[in-house]
Amino acid sequence: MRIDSEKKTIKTHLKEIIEIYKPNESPKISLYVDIFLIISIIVSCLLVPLEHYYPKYQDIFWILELFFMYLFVIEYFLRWYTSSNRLKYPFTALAIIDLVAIIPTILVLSSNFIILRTFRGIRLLRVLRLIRLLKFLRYGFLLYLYIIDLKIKYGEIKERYRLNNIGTLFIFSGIAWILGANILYLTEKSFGSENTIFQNYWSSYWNTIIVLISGIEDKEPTSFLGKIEITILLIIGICFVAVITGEIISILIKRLQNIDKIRVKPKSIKLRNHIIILGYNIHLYNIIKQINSALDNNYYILLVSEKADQIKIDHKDDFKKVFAYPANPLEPSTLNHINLQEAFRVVILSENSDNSALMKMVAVYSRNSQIPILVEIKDEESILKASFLDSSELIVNRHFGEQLLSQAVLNEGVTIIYDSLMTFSKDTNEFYRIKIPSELIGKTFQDAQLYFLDYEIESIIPIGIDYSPENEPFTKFYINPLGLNIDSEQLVLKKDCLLIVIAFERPKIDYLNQEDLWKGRILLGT
Amino acid sequence: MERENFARNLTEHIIICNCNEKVKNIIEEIHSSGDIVVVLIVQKKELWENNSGWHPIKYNKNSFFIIFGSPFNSDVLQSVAIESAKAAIILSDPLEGEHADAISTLVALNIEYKNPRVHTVMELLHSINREHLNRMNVDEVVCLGDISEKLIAQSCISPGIKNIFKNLMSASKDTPQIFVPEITDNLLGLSYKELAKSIIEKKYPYIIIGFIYFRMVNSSKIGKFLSIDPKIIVMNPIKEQKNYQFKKGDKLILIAHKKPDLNLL
Repeated sequence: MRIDSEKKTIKTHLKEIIEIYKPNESPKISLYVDIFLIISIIVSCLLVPLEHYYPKYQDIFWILELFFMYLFVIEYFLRWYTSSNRLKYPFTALAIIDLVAIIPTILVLSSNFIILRTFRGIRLLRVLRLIRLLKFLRYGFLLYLYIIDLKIKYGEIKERYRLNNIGTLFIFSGIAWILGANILYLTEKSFGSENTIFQNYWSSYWNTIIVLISGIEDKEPTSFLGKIEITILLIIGICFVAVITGEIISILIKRLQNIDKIRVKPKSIKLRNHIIILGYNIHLYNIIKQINSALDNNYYILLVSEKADQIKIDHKDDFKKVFAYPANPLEPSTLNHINLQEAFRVVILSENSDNSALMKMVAVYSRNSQIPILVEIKDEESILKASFLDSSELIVNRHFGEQLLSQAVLNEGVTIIYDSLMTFSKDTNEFYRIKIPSELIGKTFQDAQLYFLDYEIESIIPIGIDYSPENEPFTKFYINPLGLNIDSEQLVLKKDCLLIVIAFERPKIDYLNQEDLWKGRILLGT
Repeated sequence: MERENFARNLTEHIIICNCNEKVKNIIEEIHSSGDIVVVLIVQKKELWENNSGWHPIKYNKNSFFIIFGSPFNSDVLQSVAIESAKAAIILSDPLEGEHADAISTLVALNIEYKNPRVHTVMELLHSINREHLNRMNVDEVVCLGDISEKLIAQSCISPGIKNIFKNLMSASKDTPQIFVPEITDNLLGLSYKELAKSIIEKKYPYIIIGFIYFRMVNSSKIGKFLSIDPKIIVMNPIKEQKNYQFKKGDKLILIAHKKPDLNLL
């Protein structure tokens, strides 16, 4: 049962580095490697047109090409070495793409190859290097994450600085400028006295922009019609400057007013894979802090409450990915706007009464019956009223307080242990469910305990077995199964059950199903 | 349920000061774990009588007593045998409203003053006050707000996780609980890994998940090392910590269905 930890460590480390970066799961170096490889793919593909347009630098391009080829060869073999099934790996789609991406250069290098003896053959092979673009398929998820982030950032800047309004203003000013300069040029050319500044086409542009922006009529037109036109332009210029100044001041004032508040979600942004919090109470700040700590700020949180834009925050860092949406959570238009269909979780905080929280739960459930809904309630009876909604989970926090108070007197010193298990941080443990490692299938729970006692890659303690259905986690489980009088057959670990473990973060030993991730059954981060 | 002048001879009992909506479940929880005597001190008789929903239903009538009076009153505390009590729970007094933390703290300190050996557990309304209590002699503090926040975050990340906490925190005999027993002489010198291995191989019905040890701190005033707080809690020990050898005074963190007897290990 002992693991050859040293051998596994090298392979695991290499795998972690070479595999696609997963936020907060992979080491930072994995991200740098990905960025380096993405840049290498882009540059190596750019070499194809560059070689065509700048043949005099052919030698430099060829050296670069060789460098990229060796790089991709090393990458190919490293991926092969670290793959979980080395026999199957070369036949996987991504491995074939990797191989095809390096073959053209290897063939060009091989002088014995018959096709290459013709110039057309070499050119064809060089163009084939563009197949490397397919390597981006591997980075799809990573690029997708960053593109989403960039889109949201852009949308936020656009709304914060009212880029639409300012853009429209500049477009109208530009039209006024071009039209004004042309009309003045034509007017002066036709009716003005000789040698006025507006009779030069490009000088007309320069003088018109001066009039529009500064309002100073430095060089006036000589014709009467030209003077009327410049007056109109002066008025347009004054209006333009006034409106722009007003916009800038308004942006600055709004920024100052909202400096210690949660950022309001721009209307144009559509969040996906986000966590929605409906309602507001004094627990909000710490809940967000805990969620962010657990998920390492990887997910956007949308707070929906009529007072959402009024909530003051002390530590802006905890609210980097939090948006406020000031609206009544029960308004159909609000629920349509917050994209419940693509959200990961919905948390409903208790405000005034349980009925209000329950109504919000019904409103969410009616729009998306699959999304996990977590409802904070005060009264135990409310649990009975909503227990038939399978995706919802109701928490009466008072119960846990009562239990903890009792535990504290019955088993001295346990509150700090429970507190630690409930807290998300890098230094504390939490409960996780993990798939049974293949080596342990058919073995007993004790075998699993011994396995993880010797497991040195990460600290994991199995504490129970979970037999819950996939969509109802933690509903049928045994904690400390040896302490129960249950059939020993039930302690045999089967493929379809899960181990309940204590760990500092989501155990890396656990194979993460992409579908589970996308459907939000597992949130990455810890 | 109400008996006066009854409790002077009690020992190892639990005293609950003040009553609120939590008292019912607390008494029922304590009684579900065994026959432990609980004495409730209520300041206002009307408050108790007007809130029948707070009265326990599933409890042992011979092991529950109630006395009306102020927990600040020495006579009241003497009448509930504070000097021989095992533990005291100080609940927030609903009559004190949002500022109940101040009164609860003073009650806890008063009890600690009368009997420093009693294990005091206080209900805190506002987590902002926790820091002040950490500096006092109150043994354990339970803040409902903290629990709410952490549990909501936990459930948000892992739906259903509340069931694990509910299962562990329940004092029922059928559910596992976390115990923090002090290490016994027979285990001194053993390493964490050796002990964990022994527990697993010998099929003891416990799961060891960590240990607590007390760091030797240099007291400049006294000029010598004292083995007092700060205590270091090691949960789920990492590679090097698994070789820690247990010393006198250390504690184990175990998951078990009933209080483990470490002498049997």
